[in-house]
Amino acid sequence: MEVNGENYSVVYETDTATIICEGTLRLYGVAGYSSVTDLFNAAADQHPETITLNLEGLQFLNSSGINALSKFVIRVRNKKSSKLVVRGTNQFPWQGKSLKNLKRLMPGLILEFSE
Amino acid sequence: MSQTEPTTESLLEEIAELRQEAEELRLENADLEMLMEMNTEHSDYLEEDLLKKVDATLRESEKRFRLITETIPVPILVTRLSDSTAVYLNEHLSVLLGLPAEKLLGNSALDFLYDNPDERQKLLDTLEKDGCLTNYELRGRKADNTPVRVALFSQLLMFNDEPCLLSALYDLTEHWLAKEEIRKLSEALEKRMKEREGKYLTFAMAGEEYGVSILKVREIIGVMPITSVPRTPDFMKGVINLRGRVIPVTDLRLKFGMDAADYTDRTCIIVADIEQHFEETGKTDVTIGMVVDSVSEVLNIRGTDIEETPELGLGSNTDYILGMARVNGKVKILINIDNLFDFREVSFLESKGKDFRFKGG
Repeated sequence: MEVNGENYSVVYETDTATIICEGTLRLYGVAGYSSVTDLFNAAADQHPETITLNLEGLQFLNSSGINALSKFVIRVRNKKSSKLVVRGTNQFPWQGKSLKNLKRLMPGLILEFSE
Repeated sequence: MSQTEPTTESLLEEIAELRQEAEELRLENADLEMLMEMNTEHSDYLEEDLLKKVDATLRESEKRFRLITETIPVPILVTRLSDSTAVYLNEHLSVLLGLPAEKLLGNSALDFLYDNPDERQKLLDTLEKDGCLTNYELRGRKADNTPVRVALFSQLLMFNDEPCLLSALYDLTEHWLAKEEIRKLSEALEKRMKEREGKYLTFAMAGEEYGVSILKVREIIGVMPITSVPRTPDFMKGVINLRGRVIPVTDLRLKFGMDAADYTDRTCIIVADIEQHFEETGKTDVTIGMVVDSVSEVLNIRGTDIEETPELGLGSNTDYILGMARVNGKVKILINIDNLFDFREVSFLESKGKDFRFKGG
């Protein structure tokens, strides 16, 4: 599954249960993120043992985007069937601040940062 | 219809369900609050990050602007549109105006760039009409009060959050001075051409043709008895009595350093007036006679047919030559008889004329 835009792509690799987000995500509001949210929900609903969310190539994410991401984390948490690993990078400073906050929603979430 | 009373068990079940729902709502509410907080923090961070980037971009942009304006060899000036105050300028403008930047910055361009402050309004009108200025010529003054001419190329620009005018100045002063010099020279040349053109009496001496302005010539007479005057220069042949008036006569051959020639029936005396300035009397005309081999004709010579006297070598005094006239493929030397004799010679000629007049009674 994948969602592609002018400056971004969101891909779900089912065999590894990995969601890869890349580029600049600056869609407008809940409606703008509906396709991305559908992809997130589909991944969560498959109940894989571990879901990996790879954000290492995501340069920018706007507020509606962090909202969509947070709701995905809540969904995985509430299903209680999958572990969640979030991979970010220190290369894009916003990730260091905002991705840490995801652990407040799901304390068991594993956060990995690459340089 | 009778209504069944709820049993204690069913009530307890209902309470348990409500408690469960309340707990779920509490958790959901907590999630929502957390989402809001996260969203706000994320927004704050993005805003801060973007502002930093904007600041960095502005700084970089300003750095580039300064780098460009300091590198290109063109005077640059940024003035506030509201009051013409200089808010930025480069070193080249300081050099152009001969003033250090600190004496220009913060001051009105009207004080240091505009020769005529009214020009500013004309400039603004042009700017409003065309949106920019291209090759707008402006007269200014340097710090030492020497005039400066520039061509302005201006655009509107937001500088330090204020509407400003960015101007590149192209120094036209040298060009303008050269043009002025050419204009003056052209005028002088035209004036000289007009002065020189006209009718000339041409005469011959030693096979060469000469000319003298007809306006200077009183009359032409044949050779008549000349009373020699002792202790006078060789070229001074003496005096003649022309209808009761004593006129000093010079031999032009001798004056020109040529060999003397016998006088023939073709020999003539050209009686002409020499204009001379005397300290006591101011401008005075002195009438003299000039002996020439023969008189040819009166020619109307155009200014364009008269060329300047060529350089004839070191020490050659050619002030008495007005120019060289080209007539029918031949060159005629035009004589300025006002410069033919120097001041002492003219004084001498005039005194001899007066002496004889006095003696003649």
